[in-house]
Amino acid sequence: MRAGGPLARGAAGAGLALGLPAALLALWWVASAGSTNIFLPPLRVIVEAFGRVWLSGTFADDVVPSLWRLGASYGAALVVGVVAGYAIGRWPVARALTSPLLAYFRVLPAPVMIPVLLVAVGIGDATKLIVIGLGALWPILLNTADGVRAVDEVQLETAAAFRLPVWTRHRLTLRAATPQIFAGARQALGISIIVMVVSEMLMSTDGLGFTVTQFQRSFAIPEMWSGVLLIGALGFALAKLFELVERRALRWHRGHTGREEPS
Amino acid sequence: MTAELLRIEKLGKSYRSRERQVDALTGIDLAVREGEFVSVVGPSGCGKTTLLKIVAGLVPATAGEVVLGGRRVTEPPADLAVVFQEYGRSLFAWKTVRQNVELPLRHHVGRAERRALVADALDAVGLGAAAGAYPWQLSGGMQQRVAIARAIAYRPKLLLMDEPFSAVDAQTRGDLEDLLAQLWHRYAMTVLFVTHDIDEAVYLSQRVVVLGTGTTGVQAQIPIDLPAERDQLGTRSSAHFGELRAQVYARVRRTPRPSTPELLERVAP
Amino acid sequence: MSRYRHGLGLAGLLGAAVAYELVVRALFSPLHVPPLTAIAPEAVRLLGEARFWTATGRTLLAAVVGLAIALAAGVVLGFAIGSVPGLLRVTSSTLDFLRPVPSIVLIPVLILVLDVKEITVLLVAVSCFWIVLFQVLYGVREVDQVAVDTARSFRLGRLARIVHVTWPTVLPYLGTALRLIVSVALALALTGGLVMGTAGLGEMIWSSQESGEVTGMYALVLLTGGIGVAVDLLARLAERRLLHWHVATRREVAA
Repeated sequence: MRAGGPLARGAAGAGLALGLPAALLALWWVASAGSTNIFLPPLRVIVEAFGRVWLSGTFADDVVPSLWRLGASYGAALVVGVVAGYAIGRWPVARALTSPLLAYFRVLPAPVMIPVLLVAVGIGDATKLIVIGLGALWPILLNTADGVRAVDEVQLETAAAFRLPVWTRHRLTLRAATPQIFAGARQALGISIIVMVVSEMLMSTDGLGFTVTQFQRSFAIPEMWSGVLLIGALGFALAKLFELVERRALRWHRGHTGREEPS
Repeated sequence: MTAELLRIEKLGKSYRSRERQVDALTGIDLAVREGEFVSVVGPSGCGKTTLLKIVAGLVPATAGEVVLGGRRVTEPPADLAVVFQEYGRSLFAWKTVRQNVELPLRHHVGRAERRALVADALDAVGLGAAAGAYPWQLSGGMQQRVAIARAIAYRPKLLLMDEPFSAVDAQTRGDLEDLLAQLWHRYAMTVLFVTHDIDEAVYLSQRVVVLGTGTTGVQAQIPIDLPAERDQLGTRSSAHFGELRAQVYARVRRTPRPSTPELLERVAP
Repeated sequence: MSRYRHGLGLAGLLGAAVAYELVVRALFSPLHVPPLTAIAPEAVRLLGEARFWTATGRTLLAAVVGLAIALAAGVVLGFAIGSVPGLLRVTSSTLDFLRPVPSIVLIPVLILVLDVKEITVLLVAVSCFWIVLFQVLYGVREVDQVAVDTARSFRLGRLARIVHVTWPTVLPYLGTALRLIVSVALALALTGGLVMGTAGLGEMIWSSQESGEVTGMYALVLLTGGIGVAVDLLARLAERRLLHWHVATRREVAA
């Protein structure tokens, strides 16, 4: 950037960042203000519904279970995915043994597992936990394996030449693979949110997906819109949170490659 | 004496940021006659590449003017070709050697003539057999030959070259220098050659222009009165070559160097 | 070596199948989790049935139509945003906000105004659109300044530069997008069937679950994975065709 000091740049940046969203929201507000179409209620009414619905008991009853399931499954997928991905990336025999299996499960869409688990495990939380975890697992596992496999040979040899202990060497390899692991984890986050909502739409008595579907079925349209906005905001917030963590963890990588985002 | 082809007058280029103004070039005056081979040398950061880009019409000047063949340059002129240092990025990886050479001719020349021009240019650089290959299948030196072929197929009056041989190994470099000298004779082009290598400038040119840093303009213009026929061994080991080389070197040494903060400024504009 | 690897892969598949068979026979009732020896014949039987192929065709059609919409919209908008200076800076926060919004939130909204078939196509299109758009934007950003300068110095106009420089640079990114979106498209076309009962494979799976044809459902899921593999393979093949020069570049760099 050529122009201005950090402060001026920050202000200009914020202006640019907030300008279009603010304009779009304002447009929605104004355009929908006099709307009599029951499917497209005025934004004002949606905002009122939002306060009424989500800032009350519903939050604890519906948002918390959703987030809990998401967090638990995603966390489990991270652990399993990184460990298994590491093994598969590190040892050619493990890779050869699993590659056709992985190729199959990678492309089997997670939502399809919902009816299977419904029959096999039942309608409880376990099914939702498993299906969200399965959705998140493959991107993490495959990216970890790719990342570990691509670790620079010179680095491994350097570590060996210095006679570093085996565990330190494993840690170094894993560390070198973190940019790819994060790329997989980011992809997995998006998928797990989708699978969470779908699983709640299909088989639940609580959760965001369930509640929004209920509102829609009972023609509580402003309430439904508020739920849609909440899911959208949730997806956005989690993505931003992830970005923050990634930025901190991968500071060395950005400096190293001079690139902002791996593509 | 032949006619003047290129005239650069009081040329300046400055980059303005909110707090300060950085002068990359100021008060450059230079004239090049038709058929001449002129090299521009100077310390790194003296704005050689900026000068070349302004002459090519790729970057607008902020002061003065460039006149090529009687016309003021405001956009890339018709009878000019550029060979960049970064051949790997300047050649289009998705096109074969032939397609690369042909691309600039597509809109100006009919098909039959185009084919003849491409074949002639590739033969001239010794790559007639590689027409169907992709650039990345060739060595660095061969890639730069393709870029040169592309330029001469375009039949420019003025050929601009921006440190074209600084990314290849020494052996290849000598070969490419001789190839260039030979092409210059054969196609009767005018060449403006930017380099940081004083030996190379003296070896190839009829005149060497020493550029000062930022605000100091052209420091010296040294005529190179070596015989027209030159060769790597004989010419470079001759006493007169040594004298000329020393003369240019002395002028470059005397040029004030940019200060470190200024250099940093240029690295991160 | 490659023969050895394929052998191991086959062994892995067989091992997994045997392990599944043993675990299922030992721990589960066939009413909940049927063994592979029951699923496989059922899958073969389904392959001979017209209704399976009709359902597959419908799902794939929804996926392909949505994918085509996403590609067209993503490329056009990506080029527009990427090549007009300043437009990216104005829109980037909005794009960043909209991208992580899961497309299935559209289901409750759209189901009030559109029919399920259209919604399924739209779901596919919206999800794939973001991937295409961002890949195009990455690609446009990667256009080499030296290549652009070269083209300009030879007096190639704006359109010619897009055709000869920008488009070939973006193409590999589009290839990546294509590889990513085929499985996304298939997943969402199936999800549409599961959630809204859009005619197709997803709906077929869901209804066999509801009517208690457990083995049939497992067989359908098994086949769905097979379709996924085939579609993925096709996308990779298309990518390689499209980018023969680029893939080869990578191979040379690696060597």
